[in-house]
Amino acid sequence: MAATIQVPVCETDYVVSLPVNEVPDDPEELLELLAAEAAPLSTWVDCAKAYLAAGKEDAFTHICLEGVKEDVAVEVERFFGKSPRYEQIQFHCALAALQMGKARDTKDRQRRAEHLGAAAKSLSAAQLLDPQEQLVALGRGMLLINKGDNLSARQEFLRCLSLRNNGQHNIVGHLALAGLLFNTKQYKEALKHYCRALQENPAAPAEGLADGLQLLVRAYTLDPTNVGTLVMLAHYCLIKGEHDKVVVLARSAMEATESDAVRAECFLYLARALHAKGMFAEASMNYAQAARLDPSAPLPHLGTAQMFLHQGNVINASTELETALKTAPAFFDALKILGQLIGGNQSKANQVLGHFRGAASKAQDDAGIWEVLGELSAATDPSGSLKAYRHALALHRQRVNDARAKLEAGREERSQQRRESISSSAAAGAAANGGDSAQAAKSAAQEASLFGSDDDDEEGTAPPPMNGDAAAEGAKKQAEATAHPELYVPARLLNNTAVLMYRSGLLSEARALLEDVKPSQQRCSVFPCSACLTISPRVRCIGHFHRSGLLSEACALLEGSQASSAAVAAAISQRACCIGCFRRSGLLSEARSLLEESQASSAAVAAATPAQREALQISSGGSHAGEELSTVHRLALAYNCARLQEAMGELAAAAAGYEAILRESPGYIDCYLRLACAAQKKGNPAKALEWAQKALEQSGEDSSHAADAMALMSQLHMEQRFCKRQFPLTLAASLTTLQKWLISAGSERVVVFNEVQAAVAASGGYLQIPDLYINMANVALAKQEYITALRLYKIAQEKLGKNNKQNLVLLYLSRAFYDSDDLQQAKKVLLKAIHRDPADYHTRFNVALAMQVWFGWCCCCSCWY
Amino acid sequence: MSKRLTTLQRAEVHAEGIWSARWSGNNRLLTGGQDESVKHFEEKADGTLGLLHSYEGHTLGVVSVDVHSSGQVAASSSLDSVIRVWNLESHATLDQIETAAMETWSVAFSPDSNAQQLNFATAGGTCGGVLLWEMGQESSRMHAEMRLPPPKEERGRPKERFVLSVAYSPDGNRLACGAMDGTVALFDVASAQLLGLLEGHFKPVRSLAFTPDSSMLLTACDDMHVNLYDVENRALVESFSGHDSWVLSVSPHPSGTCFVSGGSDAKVKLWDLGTRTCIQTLTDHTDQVWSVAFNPDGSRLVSASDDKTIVTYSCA
Repeated sequence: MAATIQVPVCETDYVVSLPVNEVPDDPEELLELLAAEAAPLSTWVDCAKAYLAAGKEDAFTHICLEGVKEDVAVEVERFFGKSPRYEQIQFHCALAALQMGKARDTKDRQRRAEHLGAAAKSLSAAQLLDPQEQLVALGRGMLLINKGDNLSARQEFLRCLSLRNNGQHNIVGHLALAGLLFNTKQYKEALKHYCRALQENPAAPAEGLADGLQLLVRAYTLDPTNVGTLVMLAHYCLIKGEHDKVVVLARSAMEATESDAVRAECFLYLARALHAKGMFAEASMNYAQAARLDPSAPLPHLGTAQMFLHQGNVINASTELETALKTAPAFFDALKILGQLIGGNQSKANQVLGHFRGAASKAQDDAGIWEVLGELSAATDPSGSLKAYRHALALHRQRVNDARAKLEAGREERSQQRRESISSSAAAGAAANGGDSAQAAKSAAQEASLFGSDDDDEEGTAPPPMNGDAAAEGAKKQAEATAHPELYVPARLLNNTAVLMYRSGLLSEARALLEDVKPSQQRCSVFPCSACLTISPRVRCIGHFHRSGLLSEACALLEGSQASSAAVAAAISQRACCIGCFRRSGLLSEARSLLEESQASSAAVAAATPAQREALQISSGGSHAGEELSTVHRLALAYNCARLQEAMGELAAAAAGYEAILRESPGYIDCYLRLACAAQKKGNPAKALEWAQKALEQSGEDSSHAADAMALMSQLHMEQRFCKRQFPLTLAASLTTLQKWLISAGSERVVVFNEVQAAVAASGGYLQIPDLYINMANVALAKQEYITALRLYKIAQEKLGKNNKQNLVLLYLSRAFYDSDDLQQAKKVLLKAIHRDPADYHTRFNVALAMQVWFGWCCCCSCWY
Repeated sequence: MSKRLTTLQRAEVHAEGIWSARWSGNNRLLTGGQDESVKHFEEKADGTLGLLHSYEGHTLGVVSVDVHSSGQVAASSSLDSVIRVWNLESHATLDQIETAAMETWSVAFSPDSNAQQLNFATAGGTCGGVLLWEMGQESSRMHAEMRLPPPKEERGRPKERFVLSVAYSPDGNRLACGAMDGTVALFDVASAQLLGLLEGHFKPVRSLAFTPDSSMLLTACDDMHVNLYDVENRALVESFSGHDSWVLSVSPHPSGTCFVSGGSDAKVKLWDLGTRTCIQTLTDHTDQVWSVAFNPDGSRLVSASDDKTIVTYSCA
């Protein structure tokens, strides 16, 4: 409370200072003075408080009652142009508080009820003025407490949390609630609200905290060796950022106590203070002490982890964080750091994923943790990951919108000011130059241009873009992105979400996101998931072959980490090519020689690190994002964009995209491969071979890419030959091979097979590797499990949907029906196949063969034809 | 104003996938599919479809149907390599033409044929050309064969060109066909001479159609594009991309302002020929859309799909 009341003197700049203890005895006298000087009602409030402090309850009541009078309000509004609603509410509430105090003091039940009734009346009067005023709700809560109805009071205080005090956000709701909870012995809850209050207003504690601090200081002066007081005081100082004091307080507390728990707390505060002061060595020592004394406390571990991180020791940091999480599984800060640390390590990610889900569901507003959750679960639970990413994205979008609105408002204000200043300077110029209006106009223009060039930082000194000048617009946007990162959703998030969408088939949505990236491209960083865009071409390369050795590798692909999957996929294609080759050995010497070559280099695949992976590792490290890296990221983005276009069927646009990337970075081998695939899709195998050849030339030492290129080339060669020669019995031959393999493989492979099947089923239809289904179905067919085989073929069919491998599946499917003696179904499927591809010799042969068998069969039982 | 399509109804009318659908007049529909039947429907006042007659006789799936502009005669072609001609009023089989195995695919009536003499063309499948048929009072006879130029030989063996699609220009002067290897050929009907090839596709061209003014040709191809060619100059004008799988069929609106395509991605797309953009995508089907067709006055569209259903749309 102010020691003096400042009364502004009417129509002057003077202020009369009125010491609080010298207020006139008669309130009427004071009111006359106030009325004469037309003092604002807030001064009245101060005066009333002064009377109350002096114990003059009657005077206090008098001023309050005068203040709430209707005509006073009208007078004030006429004079100040603003209704003194808040002040009047203050008077009402003050009266209510007085009555409540009286009620507390009296023991007579009758009197007590009267006081409380009067208080309730004042409060309802206040509520009439503004039902959304926090003060009133607070008063009502207090009233309810006085009546002994803590439950309703709690409701009232909860309401306070969302209300505003005279239009301002105020933490008093939290404090009231915390106080109530404390009194009802719900300490944990109370603590939570105290923390919230601190969180919302740590720098300038509202009265509750200040009072608390004052009380603590008083306690300290009374008993400087009281350990509890010292510890509490240290905590407060820590919150207020007075680190030196913390060190002193914590040290003296430590000396005064014997309890390990308290000492641990002191060490922790000490460490945090030292940490904040940048004295890392000492801080980490103290963290370690704290952790030793109280092994169950998570905070010291977090601190230690931060220390390790500071030293660049990631492994130790994550171990510490894991220890912290063991004792406090939902420890938000630790989770967040840990998530960023173990992004690449899938087995670890799986361990903490559960914690993350819990934490994320509790922190709905924290985009960071949702993004980390998405990142961690990308490999194992893509649909969940996508959900998490979407959530993060929504949060970011909201933030961006808010920031934009704010900036827009700021800009509006500035331009308003600028206009005013320009017009006033123009006016001044005109006045100075008398009649020379031309001169005045010129100076005004100069002034204006000065303002124009000295513009807001986001526009720089560049001239404003011309209408329709997209390039300039883009440049401006980029500049804006650099200057205001908060205006854009991070490109990393957009890209990663897009990649996941791509993988779940949401092409157009993914595309839209990637388009969004462009304006903020400069500050992008890509995370390991982007590797998945490059996996699919490899898997596709395998496509044509009949692969019996695929399953174990596929299983590894499913379970393996994101980062290594590219290498695994490459390995699969190796194996697959070989087997396909064996089957056709006599016919396809050319393809075989190619494949053998790639086989020779495949030994190095596991060890070799593809250039892109390396780049990604650097980017996920993230700490040194230089100019060079941003190029890598931009190219990766452009590649993803083109890849999406390709998947959406815009082959020409995609090819143009790839070629643009190649112009800038001729070593981007994936682009050559994709160009080859696009040419193949367009039905131009010659061109496809050309691109594949280029990819091979470019890959040089990079054996994984070389293998890809060769696999693709061999596939192209094989496709060309496939058309020329008739393989009527390909199916039977492949099935025999498969059967042989199954027998030779023994039980181990069957186990693997079952695991793959389980993994596929568990992925909830998310896995998009139809080849896998075909293989699994083939295995089932060879094992004469017709129902399983049919089911798997149908799934493969659905997955393929838009793929030219459909016909192959249709053939297998018909074979499965045929083998299971469902000839009618087999015929239907074959008809479908022949309708899709009437020029296909195998189909035609099979139809003819099947028809022959059916006619024979039908003649016997005469149920058909 | 560009056109909009509004789905009227989706009906499962065949036991298996439907491969072809055409209007016979403004509110009658002819469909054929894998279940070997050709069915004739009438759109009732409430928009539902009533079956007029089911034509049986084909022994393997019906690949293509077409209706003569009089609305009284229809032809169908099937995987059993038989072309059947039906009278839609008496339900009688007017003729059945047996060709060599796999030597018939799409069928199309000539716009200038009259009641006395019906002319129609069939895409000749493995024979590598288009066959023109003339049907008199008694029976049909082949009166011309338009062959594609021989493909490049590869290792001493000529490459096969399976001809999938055929279309007459509305003025009756031109005929175009599309083949499995992406060849699109343009013929003069009167002289049965090859005018030239339209370059741009390398994959099966399963459907093609002239614009109403006969000046342009639309081709639907497995390369996921619909190409628009200038017939006179045999030049590629535009390549429409948007389907994310094979484009299986294409049909221009009688007004010439827009066209519709159906694809293996189960989507039906409406394209504006003025702005050359996709203006609407319909996703009523759940499996590949084998056939799309506007009725003669352009007020209705039908799409037929492997999901055993046809969907009718109003177009305004």
